Amino acid sequence: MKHSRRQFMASSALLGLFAPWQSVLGQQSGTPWRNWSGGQMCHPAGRFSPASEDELISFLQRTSGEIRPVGSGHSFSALVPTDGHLLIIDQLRGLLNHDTDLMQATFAAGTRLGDMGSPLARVGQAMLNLPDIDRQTLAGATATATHGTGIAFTCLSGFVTSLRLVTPGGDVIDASASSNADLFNAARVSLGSLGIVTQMTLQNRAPYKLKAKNWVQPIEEVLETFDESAANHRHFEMFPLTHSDYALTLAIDETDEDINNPPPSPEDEAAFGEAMAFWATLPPKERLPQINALAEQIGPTEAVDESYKILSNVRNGRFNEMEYSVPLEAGADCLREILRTIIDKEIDVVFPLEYRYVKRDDTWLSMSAGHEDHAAISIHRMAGEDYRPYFDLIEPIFWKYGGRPHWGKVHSLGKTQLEQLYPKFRDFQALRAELDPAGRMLNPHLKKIFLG
Amino acid sequence: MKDKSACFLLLLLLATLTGCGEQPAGKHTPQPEASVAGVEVDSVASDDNETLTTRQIQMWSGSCALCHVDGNAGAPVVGIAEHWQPRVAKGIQTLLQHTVEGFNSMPPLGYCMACEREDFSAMILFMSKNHAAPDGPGLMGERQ
Repeated sequence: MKHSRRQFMASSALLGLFAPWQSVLGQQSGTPWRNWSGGQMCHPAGRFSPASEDELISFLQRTSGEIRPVGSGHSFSALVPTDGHLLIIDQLRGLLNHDTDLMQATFAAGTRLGDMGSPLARVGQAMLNLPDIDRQTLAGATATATHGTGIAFTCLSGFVTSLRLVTPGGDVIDASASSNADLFNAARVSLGSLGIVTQMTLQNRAPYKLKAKNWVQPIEEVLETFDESAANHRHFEMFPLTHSDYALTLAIDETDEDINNPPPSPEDEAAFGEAMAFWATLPPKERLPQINALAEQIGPTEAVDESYKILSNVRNGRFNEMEYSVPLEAGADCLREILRTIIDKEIDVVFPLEYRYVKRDDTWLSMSAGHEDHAAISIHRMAGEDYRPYFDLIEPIFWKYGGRPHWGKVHSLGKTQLEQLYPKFRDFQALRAELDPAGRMLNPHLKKIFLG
Repeated sequence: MKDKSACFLLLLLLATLTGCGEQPAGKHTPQPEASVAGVEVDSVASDDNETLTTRQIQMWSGSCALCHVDGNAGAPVVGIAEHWQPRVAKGIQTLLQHTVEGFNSMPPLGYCMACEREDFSAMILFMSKNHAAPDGPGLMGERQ
């Protein structure tokens, strides 16, 4: 016999049982914060979620102390943890306006990427590209220079044509390439250190469909023709299997074909868990011949859908990730050395790597900022596993090839190293100090990055 | 084992590229504005909206609803008794702990960065309707 909601409420149980609930979660009075993977955690002094830009300004003007903005908590690096206040702009969301002639649209910065495709389609627009995961907020994704795939596409920040920043002191600044240009180039990839971005205008295009093709191919074969493949497809990337000679390969191109994008069956999803459990029982050095044999049996698959449904999706398996970009010409050698190290050191990892190209951009701090395109390489560990030994072993390989870290992913670099990697790093530091002289937006992680 | 391993590779691809529980074609996350306006919330919650405050409805529609409306990643769907009965049997303390710390595919805080414990408690009650198994305990351990 179930209780109705009203019966339940009438019992006053809801009102009376908060105290024991709190005791379950420990001794802290507030609700702890954790990131998506669970690898980052803090006990903030409080949470503030402004219902409007005016409320945000008022909060910043009447308070002092450390604040850290958080989007959807998808950063694996320690950008968010704070003993001060978390600032959440989840109420600042949605399509604010659009310009049909310019194919541009302005979104409140707290909008999740996954909530942008439909409203854009209703006004006859679509985003030029998207990152893999669609849960991030626009503010969080751009602050970390989150990117998709494609030699013809910059990171998401490169599509921003203007933005509004509320400084830590509560001043409102609109910035674009023609107005407050330095701030515009800094604030498009800000690590959340310059203030709170409340809205952004994006360059879009007419809606389009994409066809994704997946197949398996020897890693060396893919690398030999990677530049050609990247030039011939709208998006092209590969996922090298660890302890294997093979990669899963993905090419995406525009199409007029009918939509055909069935979700995986529950049986397939169940088999995934079983297979992972089996795989983990094999010693790493015994995996290569087996994976190679199996890879050769896998046939290609295809899917057609609206662009935003092909490019970006939900990730249900949680993980931690390290990603660096290296100059394009160094990409293949860097990848080869990482894969060889995984085999030689018998690293017990089954999660594939990711290898793709990203176009250069004119922001100050993106992974691809400057005058050359980059190859982005990612390594992963399932959430709950200790990622440090694996990541610590691989990270110096990225450094050897001139790698720049993804700001939202695990890295260990500080001010001294970062100044060498970004020509505009010191300019950014000066602007940050000007906008936030008290350092309200610096947590320990950002102090290491900007203050040393 | 060979078949399973082949499937594993395919699913690694699927998991890496598209997520294991990708939303069915044609069904994308409800727009938060529409949800806040009551459209999606009404469609899944009927007359029980008053369980949540207006702000909690807004937070729920921008976070929990991402998975608990369509059942992404095996998430229990709002108001469906058979989905919630085994969860309710665990009791509110366990469900709240899972929500704050993350559990299986559900990330910590269920994507609601602004939520405090009392918000999660209200949302769990709202979604589960305290559907208990026959002769099983309710959220508070009460017998049905």
